[in-house]
Parts: sequence; C-alpha cells; structure tokens
Amino acid sequence: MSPRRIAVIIRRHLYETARNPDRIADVLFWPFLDVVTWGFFSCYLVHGGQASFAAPEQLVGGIALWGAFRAFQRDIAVGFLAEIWSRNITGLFASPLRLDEYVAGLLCVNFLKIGFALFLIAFACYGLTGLPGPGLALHLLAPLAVLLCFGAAIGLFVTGLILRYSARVQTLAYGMAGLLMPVSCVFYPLSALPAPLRACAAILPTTRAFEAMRQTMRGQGLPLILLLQGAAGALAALLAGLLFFHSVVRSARRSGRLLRLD
Amino acid sequence: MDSARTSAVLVLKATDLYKRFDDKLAVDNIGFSAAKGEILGIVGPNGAGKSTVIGMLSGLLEPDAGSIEIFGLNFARHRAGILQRMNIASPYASLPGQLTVRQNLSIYAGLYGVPHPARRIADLLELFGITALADARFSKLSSGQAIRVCLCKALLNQPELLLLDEPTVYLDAEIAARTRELILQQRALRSMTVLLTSHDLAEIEHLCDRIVLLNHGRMAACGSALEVTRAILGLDREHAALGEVFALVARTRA
Repeated sequence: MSPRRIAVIIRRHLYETARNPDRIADVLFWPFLDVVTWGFFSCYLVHGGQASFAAPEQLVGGIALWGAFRAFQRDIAVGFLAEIWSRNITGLFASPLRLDEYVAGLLCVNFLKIGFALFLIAFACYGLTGLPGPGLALHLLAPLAVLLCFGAAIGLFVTGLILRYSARVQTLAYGMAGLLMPVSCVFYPLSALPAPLRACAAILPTTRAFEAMRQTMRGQGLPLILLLQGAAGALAALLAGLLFFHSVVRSARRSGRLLRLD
Repeated sequence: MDSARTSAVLVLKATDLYKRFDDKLAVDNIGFSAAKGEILGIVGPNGAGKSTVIGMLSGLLEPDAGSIEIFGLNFARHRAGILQRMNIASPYASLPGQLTVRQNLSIYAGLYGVPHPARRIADLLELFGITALADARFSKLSSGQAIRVCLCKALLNQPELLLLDEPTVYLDAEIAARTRELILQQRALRSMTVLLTSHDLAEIEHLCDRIVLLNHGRMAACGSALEVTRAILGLDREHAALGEVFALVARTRA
C-alpha cells in the first residue's frame, strides 16, 4: 500500500466536502441540530419538573454516537457513489491505485470528518445546553471506536452492493443504518426489547457499544467485557465487509460492470 | 513496416483475447501488437468489440481467455506497475464536477506520482489552451473543454502507452485538429505508443500507422489503411478507402 496514494484519496474527498454544501450539511449541520435539539429536550426534562428523568447525558450521548455511526457508514458508501455519479470510477480503476489504498483513503477521510464534527459538536453542546459535552465525549471514545469499526463494515458492504447492483440501490447508503436502529438499543437497555429480538440484538456490535456507553455514564466504570465483545464483532464484520467488497470488484472486472456503472 | 516492427520494441502484445457477456460473444480470439512509438487504431462498427478491447487493455475488464503483455510484463500479474506507465482518456470517463480543473489534475498527478505536479499541470493546461480554466469547477466546463482536461489528465504521467477512446468526439473542428497534432507531437517527442478508437475515418487515416479492424468481435483485418482496404475490398486497390471498407462491413452485418 502506498501512503502517498492513500493521502491523495483523502485529499480528493476533502476537496469534494469543502466544495459541496450538501456534504458540509451532512457532516456538521444536521448532527449539530440533532444534538442541540435533544440537548434542549433533555434540559427541559431535568429542569422542567420531570424529576424522574435522570439521564440527559445518556440521551444526548446516544444521539451523538448514533449520528456518528450512521454518518460514517453513509459517507463511505456516498464517497464511492460520488465516483460513480461523476464517472470518475474508470479513471481511478485504470490508474495505479490499488483497491486497498482506495478503501484506506475513504476510511481515513471519513474518520477525520467524524472526529472534526464530534469535536465541534461537543463544545457547541456544552455552550448551548450546559450539558458536559467535552467530558461526555471522553466517555464515548471507546464505544465510538466500536461503532466506527462496525460502520466501516456496513459502509463497505453497502458499497459492494452498489457496485454489484449499480446506483439503483443507492438508497441503501442512506438507509442501511436505520434498519439496525430498533435492535441497536440506542436509547434503551437490551432488556427493554421483546424476548425474541434480544438474541438478535445481543450479537450486534452496536448494541454492545450502547450498553457500554450507558454503563460508563452511570459511573460503573469502563465495561471491558462488553467493549471487547463489541470490538470483536465489529472487527469480524469489517473483515467480512472487506472480503465482500474485494470479491464484488473482482466479479465486476470479469462481468464488465466497471465499464458501465451508472 | 513489418520488418521494421519485428526489430522494434513491442510495447503491447495481446494474444488470443476472448470475452463473452452472458450469451453475447464480444471478443473472439483477437490478437495484435503495438510497437514503441506506433499509433494503432482500433476501429469497427458499433458493437464490434472496440470498447471491450480497450476495457481489457486498461485493466477494467478481465479477459475470459488469452493474455496481455505490456512493456514485456504480464498485465494480470503486474497490473499496478504497468498502469503507472500508461494512461487512458475516454468520453465515458470523467472527473468529479465539484473539484476545479487544477484540483482534479493534482489528484491524478498524485495517484501517478508525477514529479513537480504544479509545473506539469501548468504546462499541460497551456499546451491545450485551457490555462484560464485552471480554477473553474469541472462541472462548469463545456464538453469540449472537459475532453481537453481529460486529455491533460491522460498525459500527466508522460505515459509510454496511451489509450484514447474517441479522443475528439465532442471537440469542434479546430480544437479536434489541434488535438490530433498534439497527439502526433507527443508521439514524436517521447516515442509514446498510442491505441486509438474513433469513428472519424479521416482521423484514423491521418493518425494511425496501422489499423485493427474489428467486426462482430473478430479481427477482420490488420495493417496500414491501404493493407486493410486491400484485405477487405480486393488486392487491386491502390489507395486506402476506409469509408468503403466500413460500408461493406456494415452491409455484411445487416
């Protein structure tokens, strides 16, 4: 792998983000709006007489982490879609760029974007709602790592599907994370789910990450077992996503789909 | 020419290429070679297999059978190293519209590891007369301007082998003529080998040293314009007549 070519892919997507208002809104504006809106709501519940509500940080933390997971997954797939929309895919795949370099560049640039967005949002959250945004962010780092790893896996899987079935299935880039949300226990514990769904939810790295987030925020320390289980699941999914993407690209080279992607 | 070619360095050698898409045989047992500094035209009616051949030579498409050697190396085994030394321009390949011309070219300069990229980009923009467009968004360019930017991209790494798919298709007559002269100039300067597809028969005759005529995925003839004419229309022909050749080939397809 060439670090130079990975850096070029990072630069290519940063140029695109900087010049595209839709991308800037996706990275900064909408996540900011989510966190601030639910931050105000949490403040209202705490200070407005709803004494039974005792965990505004958990609500805002869930919003922020879910937003990061969804954005990471979506932006990996949308980054690849941008190459199809602009018919740049031919030039890239006919250049010395290796597939792993492209994927590494895409992961790195989205990691940078998410890091930047979370940093700004954490401070904005503190300034506007009084919730301890930066302190909250520190609690979220370990679950965030699990979620980003799993988000990368889902993003690569969706990207593979786009390459396999063309941009007709591009809606998956935006909606795939949403399919996982009900069973990811973002705002409620695993025990809140109906029994038949619990087994399914328990194997998801997202569920482990959000359970870990809640335990950390309740002051029960860093739940290492939960985090390790989540990380193992996310890494396995990432490996599967990479293998799937590689196999789809090989198949596209055989079938001629790279020549007629639209 | 043949004896000269035998002693020349072969840049490209395609042997027994075969490609099937579902029930359609797109390329059937095609083989040809190109020597250093040669301009080889790949021509034929729509559906003859030109794009499939270009796709295979650019690494976007894997042949079902046969082999491709470029710079004396097996393409399947040395893909990245070979692609480093070649480039492609096609009207079906474009560049990200949100990026400026300069940003797009700097991205590809980075991918190809071009030394002194800013200088190289400035030189190419000047060569194609589009220096004023350097900071324009690619999406704002006319199709003729966009084609010229894509040609700049294709020449960024000073390729030893250049694949040009319909290089002048959206250009007006004056710019197309200038582009043809630039191709000849680059070939003369650096002994660059060029593989070119075009529907413009005058362009093919003007630019190409040899022609590979494809029909129904098969190689119908190969040689100079005159040799192809004689192979298809009869040995008594004294002048190249690619228009007649195409008309006859089109009739046999009907």
